[in-house]
Amino acid sequence: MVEGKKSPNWNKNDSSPILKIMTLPIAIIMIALGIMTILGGHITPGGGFQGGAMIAGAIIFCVIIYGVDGSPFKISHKFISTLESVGALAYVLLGLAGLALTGSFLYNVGGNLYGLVPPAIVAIFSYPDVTHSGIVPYLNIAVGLKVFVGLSAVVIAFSQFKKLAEEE
Amino acid sequence: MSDYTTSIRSLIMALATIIFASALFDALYGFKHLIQPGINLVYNAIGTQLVPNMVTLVVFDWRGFDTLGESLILVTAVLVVLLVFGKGKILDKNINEEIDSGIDDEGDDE
Repeated sequence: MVEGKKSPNWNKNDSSPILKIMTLPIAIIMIALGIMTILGGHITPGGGFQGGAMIAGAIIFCVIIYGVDGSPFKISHKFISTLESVGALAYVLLGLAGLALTGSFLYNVGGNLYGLVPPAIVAIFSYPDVTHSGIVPYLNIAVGLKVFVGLSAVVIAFSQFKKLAEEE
Repeated sequence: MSDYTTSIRSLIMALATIIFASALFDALYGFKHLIQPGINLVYNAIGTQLVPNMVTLVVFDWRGFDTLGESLILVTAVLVVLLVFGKGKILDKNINEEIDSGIDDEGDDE
Protein backbone atom coordinates (compact mmCIF):
# COMPACT_ATOMS: atom_id res chain seq x y z
CA MET A 1 0.00 0.00 0.00
CA VAL A 2 3.04 2.25 0.46
CA GLU A 3 3.89 1.97 -3.24
CA GLY A 4 0.30 2.79 -4.09
CA LYS A 5 0.61 6.15 -2.44
CA LYS A 6 3.40 7.30 -4.74
CA SER A 7 1.45 7.25 -7.98
CA PRO A 8 -2.31 7.27 -8.41
CA ASN A 9 -3.56 3.76 -9.03
CA TRP A 10 -5.44 4.54 -12.20
CA ASN A 11 -4.54 1.33 -13.94
CA LYS A 12 -6.09 -1.07 -11.48
CA ASN A 13 -9.25 -1.95 -13.39
CA ASP A 14 -9.68 -3.35 -16.85
CA SER A 15 -10.76 -0.27 -18.77
CA SER A 16 -9.43 0.34 -22.24
CA PRO A 17 -6.18 2.37 -22.41
CA ILE A 18 -7.82 4.76 -24.86
CA LEU A 19 -10.51 5.54 -22.30
CA LYS A 20 -7.96 5.87 -19.52
CA ILE A 21 -5.93 8.40 -21.49
CA MET A 22 -8.82 10.42 -22.85
CA THR A 23 -11.14 10.58 -19.85
CA LEU A 24 -9.16 12.96 -17.67
CA PRO A 25 -8.73 15.78 -20.28
CA ILE A 26 -12.35 15.43 -21.35
CA ALA A 27 -13.47 15.56 -17.71
CA ILE A 28 -11.42 18.70 -17.09
CA ILE A 29 -12.98 20.37 -20.13
CA MET A 30 -16.45 19.31 -18.97
CA ILE A 31 -15.83 20.77 -15.52
CA ALA A 32 -14.64 24.06 -17.02
CA LEU A 33 -17.70 24.17 -19.27
CA GLY A 34 -19.96 23.49 -16.31
CA ILE A 35 -18.39 26.30 -14.28
CA MET A 36 -18.82 28.62 -17.27
CA THR A 37 -22.47 27.63 -17.57
CA ILE A 38 -23.08 28.31 -13.89
CA LEU A 39 -21.32 31.68 -13.87
CA GLY A 40 -23.05 32.82 -17.08
CA GLY A 41 -26.41 31.47 -16.05
CA HIS A 42 -28.14 34.83 -15.88
CA ILE A 43 -27.01 35.96 -19.34
CA THR A 44 -26.61 32.86 -21.50
CA PRO A 45 -28.87 29.81 -21.77
CA GLY A 46 -28.37 27.33 -18.97
CA GLY A 47 -28.07 27.92 -15.27
CA GLY A 48 -27.14 26.39 -11.97
CA PHE A 49 -28.90 23.08 -12.49
CA GLN A 50 -27.48 22.50 -15.96
CA GLY A 51 -23.94 23.50 -15.03
CA GLY A 52 -24.02 21.38 -11.90
CA ALA A 53 -25.21 18.42 -13.95
CA MET A 54 -22.27 18.96 -16.36
CA ILE A 55 -19.72 18.91 -13.52
CA ALA A 56 -21.41 15.87 -12.02
CA GLY A 57 -21.22 14.21 -15.44
CA ALA A 58 -17.45 14.71 -15.49
CA ILE A 59 -17.10 13.25 -12.00
CA ILE A 60 -19.32 10.28 -12.89
CA PHE A 61 -17.29 9.71 -16.08
CA CYS A 62 -14.06 9.52 -14.05
CA VAL A 63 -15.64 7.24 -11.44
CA ILE A 64 -16.89 4.85 -14.11
CA ILE A 65 -13.62 4.68 -16.04
CA TYR A 66 -11.03 4.78 -13.23
CA GLY A 67 -13.10 3.32 -10.40
CA VAL A 68 -13.89 5.01 -7.10
CA ASP A 69 -10.44 4.49 -5.57
CA GLY A 70 -8.45 5.51 -8.62
CA SER A 71 -10.50 8.51 -9.63
CA PRO A 72 -8.44 11.71 -9.96
CA PHE A 73 -11.34 13.70 -8.49
CA LYS A 74 -11.65 12.15 -5.07
CA ILE A 75 -14.80 13.28 -3.30
CA SER A 76 -15.08 12.33 0.35
CA HIS A 77 -18.26 12.12 2.38
CA LYS A 78 -17.24 15.16 4.38
CA PHE A 79 -16.76 17.18 1.19
CA ILE A 80 -20.18 16.05 -0.07
CA SER A 81 -21.99 16.97 3.12
CA THR A 82 -20.15 20.29 3.41
CA LEU A 83 -20.96 21.43 -0.12
CA GLU A 84 -24.56 20.27 0.17
CA SER A 85 -25.02 22.22 3.39
CA VAL A 86 -23.25 25.30 2.04
CA GLY A 87 -25.48 25.35 -1.05
CA ALA A 88 -28.72 24.93 0.87
CA LEU A 89 -27.72 27.44 3.56
CA ALA A 90 -26.64 30.05 1.01
CA TYR A 91 -29.96 29.76 -0.81
CA VAL A 92 -32.01 29.99 2.38
CA LEU A 93 -29.91 32.84 3.81
CA LEU A 94 -30.27 34.89 0.61
CA GLY A 95 -34.01 34.29 0.83
CA LEU A 96 -34.04 35.31 4.48
CA ALA A 97 -32.16 38.52 3.64
CA GLY A 98 -35.05 39.48 1.39
CA LEU A 99 -37.52 38.49 4.08
CA ALA A 100 -35.76 40.58 6.71
CA LEU A 101 -35.29 43.67 4.54
CA THR A 102 -38.55 43.84 2.61
CA GLY A 103 -40.94 41.30 4.08
CA SER A 104 -41.12 38.93 1.12
CA PHE A 105 -39.03 35.77 0.99
CA LEU A 106 -36.41 35.64 -1.80
CA TYR A 107 -36.92 39.25 -2.84
CA ASN A 108 -34.12 40.21 -5.24
CA VAL A 109 -32.23 42.44 -2.81
CA GLY A 110 -29.42 43.25 -5.24
CA GLY A 111 -31.62 43.91 -8.25
CA ASN A 112 -34.22 45.91 -6.33
CA LEU A 113 -36.85 46.13 -9.08
CA TYR A 114 -39.50 47.62 -6.80
CA GLY A 115 -37.16 50.01 -4.99
CA LEU A 116 -37.89 48.70 -1.51
CA VAL A 117 -34.29 48.52 -0.28
CA PRO A 118 -31.94 51.44 0.47
CA PRO A 119 -29.00 51.78 -1.97
CA ALA A 120 -26.35 50.99 0.65
CA ILE A 121 -27.75 47.48 1.09
CA VAL A 122 -28.26 47.07 -2.66
CA ALA A 123 -24.53 47.71 -3.15
CA ILE A 124 -23.70 44.76 -0.89
CA PHE A 125 -25.84 42.19 -2.71
CA SER A 126 -25.39 43.52 -6.23
CA TYR A 127 -23.51 41.30 -8.66
CA PRO A 128 -20.60 43.20 -10.28
CA ASP A 129 -21.77 42.88 -13.86
CA VAL A 130 -23.22 44.93 -16.69
CA THR A 131 -26.70 43.63 -16.03
CA HIS A 132 -26.64 44.16 -12.21
CA SER A 133 -28.82 41.13 -11.77
CA GLY A 134 -28.64 41.08 -7.98
CA ILE A 135 -28.78 37.80 -6.12
CA VAL A 136 -29.65 35.65 -9.15
CA PRO A 137 -26.00 34.62 -9.91
CA TYR A 138 -25.45 33.77 -6.26
CA LEU A 139 -28.55 31.56 -6.27
CA ASN A 140 -27.19 29.98 -9.46
CA ILE A 141 -23.91 29.14 -7.75
CA ALA A 142 -25.70 27.70 -4.69
CA VAL A 143 -27.96 25.48 -6.79
CA GLY A 144 -25.01 24.47 -8.97
CA LEU A 145 -23.06 23.28 -5.92
CA LYS A 146 -26.05 21.34 -4.64
CA VAL A 147 -26.79 19.64 -7.95
CA PHE A 148 -23.13 18.77 -8.61
CA VAL A 149 -22.72 17.19 -5.21
CA GLY A 150 -26.10 15.51 -5.17
CA LEU A 151 -25.82 13.84 -8.56
CA SER A 152 -22.26 12.63 -7.98
CA ALA A 153 -23.12 11.37 -4.50
CA VAL A 154 -25.64 8.88 -5.89
CA VAL A 155 -23.18 7.38 -8.38
CA ILE A 156 -20.31 7.28 -5.87
CA ALA A 157 -22.59 5.60 -3.34
CA PHE A 158 -23.68 2.97 -5.84
CA SER A 159 -20.07 2.26 -6.85
CA GLN A 160 -19.06 1.79 -3.25
CA PHE A 161 -22.04 -0.51 -2.63
CA LYS A 162 -20.90 -2.68 -5.51
CA LYS A 163 -17.38 -2.84 -4.08
CA LEU A 164 -18.69 -3.67 -0.60
CA ALA A 165 -20.97 -6.36 -1.99
CA GLU A 166 -18.02 -7.99 -3.76
CA GLU A 167 -15.99 -7.98 -0.56
CA GLU A 168 -18.70 -9.69 1.46
CA MET B 1 -45.84 0.28 23.60
CA SER B 2 -48.29 0.98 26.36
CA ASP B 3 -51.80 2.28 25.87
CA TYR B 4 -50.89 5.49 27.68
CA THR B 5 -48.21 6.41 25.13
CA THR B 6 -50.51 5.52 22.26
CA SER B 7 -53.30 7.70 23.58
CA ILE B 8 -50.89 10.64 24.08
CA ARG B 9 -49.64 10.21 20.53
CA SER B 10 -53.16 10.06 19.17
CA LEU B 11 -53.99 13.27 21.04
CA ILE B 12 -50.95 15.06 19.61
CA MET B 13 -51.78 13.72 16.15
CA ALA B 14 -55.36 15.01 16.40
CA LEU B 15 -54.20 18.44 17.59
CA ALA B 16 -51.66 18.69 14.80
CA THR B 17 -54.28 17.70 12.24
CA ILE B 18 -56.69 20.33 13.55
CA ILE B 19 -54.01 23.05 13.43
CA PHE B 20 -52.89 22.05 9.94
CA ALA B 21 -56.47 21.83 8.62
CA SER B 22 -57.48 25.19 10.05
CA ALA B 23 -54.36 26.85 8.67
CA LEU B 24 -55.03 25.29 5.26
CA PHE B 25 -58.68 26.41 5.21
CA ASP B 26 -57.71 29.88 6.36
CA ALA B 27 -55.15 30.12 3.57
CA LEU B 28 -57.74 28.92 1.05
CA TYR B 29 -60.35 31.50 2.13
CA GLY B 30 -57.81 34.33 2.16
CA PHE B 31 -56.15 33.25 -1.06
CA LYS B 32 -58.29 35.39 -3.32
CA HIS B 33 -56.95 38.62 -1.82
CA LEU B 34 -53.35 37.50 -2.27
CA ILE B 35 -53.62 37.20 -6.05
CA GLN B 36 -52.72 40.35 -7.95
CA PRO B 37 -53.73 39.84 -11.58
CA GLY B 38 -51.39 41.32 -14.13
CA ILE B 39 -48.24 41.28 -12.02
CA ASN B 40 -46.85 38.51 -14.19
CA LEU B 41 -47.03 40.75 -17.27
CA VAL B 42 -45.41 43.64 -15.42
CA TYR B 43 -42.65 41.42 -14.11
CA ASN B 44 -41.97 39.91 -17.52
CA ALA B 45 -41.75 43.40 -19.01
CA ILE B 46 -39.33 44.90 -16.51
CA GLY B 47 -37.54 41.75 -15.37
CA THR B 48 -35.51 41.23 -18.54
CA GLN B 49 -33.53 44.40 -17.93
CA LEU B 50 -32.34 42.73 -14.72
CA VAL B 51 -31.66 39.19 -15.98
CA PRO B 52 -31.56 38.83 -19.77
CA ASN B 53 -32.02 35.07 -19.66
CA MET B 54 -35.78 34.65 -19.36
CA VAL B 55 -35.66 31.10 -18.03
CA THR B 56 -33.26 32.02 -15.23
CA LEU B 57 -35.40 35.06 -14.46
CA VAL B 58 -38.44 32.87 -13.96
CA VAL B 59 -36.66 30.01 -12.21
CA PHE B 60 -34.50 31.99 -9.78
CA ASP B 61 -36.26 35.29 -9.32
CA TRP B 62 -39.96 35.05 -10.10
CA ARG B 63 -40.27 31.44 -8.92
CA GLY B 64 -37.34 31.33 -6.51
CA PHE B 65 -39.30 29.68 -3.74
CA ASP B 66 -40.27 26.79 -6.03
CA THR B 67 -36.61 26.33 -6.99
CA LEU B 68 -35.70 25.98 -3.33
CA GLY B 69 -38.22 23.14 -3.01
CA GLU B 70 -36.98 21.60 -6.22
CA SER B 71 -33.41 21.45 -4.99
CA LEU B 72 -34.59 20.01 -1.68
CA ILE B 73 -36.26 17.22 -3.67
CA LEU B 74 -32.79 16.29 -4.97
CA VAL B 75 -31.42 16.22 -1.42
CA THR B 76 -34.31 14.00 -0.36
CA ALA B 77 -33.70 11.64 -3.27
CA VAL B 78 -30.01 11.26 -2.37
CA LEU B 79 -30.90 10.77 1.29
CA VAL B 80 -33.44 8.08 0.50
CA VAL B 81 -31.01 6.31 -1.83
CA LEU B 82 -28.35 6.28 0.87
CA LEU B 83 -30.84 5.12 3.50
CA VAL B 84 -32.44 2.37 1.46
CA PHE B 85 -29.43 0.95 -0.33
CA GLY B 86 -26.70 1.93 2.12
CA LYS B 87 -27.74 1.25 5.66
CA GLY B 88 -30.34 -1.38 5.08
CA LYS B 89 -28.38 -3.80 2.94
CA ILE B 90 -24.69 -3.09 3.35
CA LEU B 91 -23.82 -1.57 6.68
CA ASP B 92 -26.13 -3.69 8.84
CA LYS B 93 -24.12 -6.82 9.55
CA ASN B 94 -27.01 -8.81 11.04
CA ILE B 95 -29.15 -8.45 7.96
CA ASN B 96 -26.21 -9.39 5.79
CA GLU B 97 -25.62 -12.55 7.78
CA GLU B 98 -29.29 -13.47 7.54
CA ILE B 99 -29.22 -12.92 3.82
CA ASP B 100 -26.01 -14.91 3.41
CA SER B 101 -27.29 -17.83 5.47
CA GLY B 102 -30.77 -17.77 3.96
CA ILE B 103 -30.25 -17.15 0.26
CA ASP B 104 -26.85 -18.52 -0.57
CA ASP B 105 -27.49 -20.02 -3.98
CA GLU B 106 -28.34 -16.62 -5.45
CA GLY B 107 -25.96 -15.32 -8.12
CA ASP B 108 -23.22 -13.65 -6.10
CA ASP B 109 -21.30 -12.08 -8.94
CA GLU B 110 -24.02 -9.58 -9.77
